[in-house]
Amino acid sequence: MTLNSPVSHCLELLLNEYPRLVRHSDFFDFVWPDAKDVLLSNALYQNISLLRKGLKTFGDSYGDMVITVPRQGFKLNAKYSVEIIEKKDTDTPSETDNTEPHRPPLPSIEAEKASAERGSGIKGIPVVKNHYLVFFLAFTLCITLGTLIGSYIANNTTYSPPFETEHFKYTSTLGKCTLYLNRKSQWIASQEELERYKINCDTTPYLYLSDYEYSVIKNIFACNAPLTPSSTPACVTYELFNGVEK
Amino acid sequence: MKKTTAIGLFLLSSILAAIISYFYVRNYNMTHFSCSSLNVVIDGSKRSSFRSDVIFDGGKGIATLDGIIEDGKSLPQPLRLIVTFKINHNQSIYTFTHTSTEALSGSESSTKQLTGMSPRYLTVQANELKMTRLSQGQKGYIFTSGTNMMYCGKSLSDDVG
Repeated sequence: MTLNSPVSHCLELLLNEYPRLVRHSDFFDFVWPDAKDVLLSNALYQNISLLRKGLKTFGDSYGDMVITVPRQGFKLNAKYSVEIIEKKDTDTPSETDNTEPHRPPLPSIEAEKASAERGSGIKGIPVVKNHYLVFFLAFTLCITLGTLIGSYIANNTTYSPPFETEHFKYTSTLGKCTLYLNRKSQWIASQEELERYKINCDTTPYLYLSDYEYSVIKNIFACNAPLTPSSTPACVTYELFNGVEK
Repeated sequence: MKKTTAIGLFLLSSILAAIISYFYVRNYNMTHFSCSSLNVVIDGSKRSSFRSDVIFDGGKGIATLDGIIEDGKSLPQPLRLIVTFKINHNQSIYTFTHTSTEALSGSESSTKQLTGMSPRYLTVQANELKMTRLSQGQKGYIFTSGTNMMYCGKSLSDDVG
């Protein structure tokens, strides 16, 4: 059955509302939303007539499928059942078509299928496009959100054992510097020593001193803030070799 | 597509994106950081110092060593070395292997002197140094080899000069 666009939309609306009555005004709103004010009701009757002719191509008995309710509108005859059939199934008649002649399903329901794809949209194709746009935007939003959450967790997680700041104990202040000494260290730092190493207590006032039993190297972490598990200081490492070449 | 299917797809894609970005950022943070250190050797009146800025950029590292040697007699001799090395890491254990050294300025003798003062993984071909990485707060690492320590920032630009 081949139907022109307004006729197919009339059928679509009747199927959507089956078995309820569809009023004249609803047809105009649905089928001709942009021209409903200039169309005569005669146009609607002509299209319903074309629909009936189209349905009759399946057999004269289908002529009573669309019922006229005088001065109100049209509806589909409740003696027919309406089923949504996949397109591949509609190409070849099913066994049901042959075995249930009294309540045959409607043949091709392209309009119903299109309506199902568009949801409740009346405007047709533009609504379908909007759905794709909404889907794309929601998908992009989900990906972005997931990426941000993943990055945030990764940036705020430590992956290695923590440095135990308790290894350092506060010892003294030298000028503007505050000195912390490694608990295993016997280093007694002097103001003169700090000056020799040119450590700047104005920019890095927190000094963490370490020396090692079997090494000639001494280390100082010179930081702009105290080393605590929650702090984020910037530090420079001093490696000191006093009197002995490496 | 049904609404529930779409919501499921969105949730799944969000979780997948979160997992991928978590591991990407985690791996990036573990292999991209920078360390600044100042090495000082004092031997009598002779004072040698050099600053090393080391950038760990994925599997490779670049160290810029800016040194100055003062012996109290002649003029201070500035020199600069660019050292590259490979980085491998297994969990918290990092292995640094020297690959090349290029002297950009300075005499041969002062370069040799600077090379002698530098950590061996920075200057000796194919020499390896193993260090353990410890976390210090959210933005810092401390590398320790047992006889040496080095403070590094996760950001490649953390520097206090």
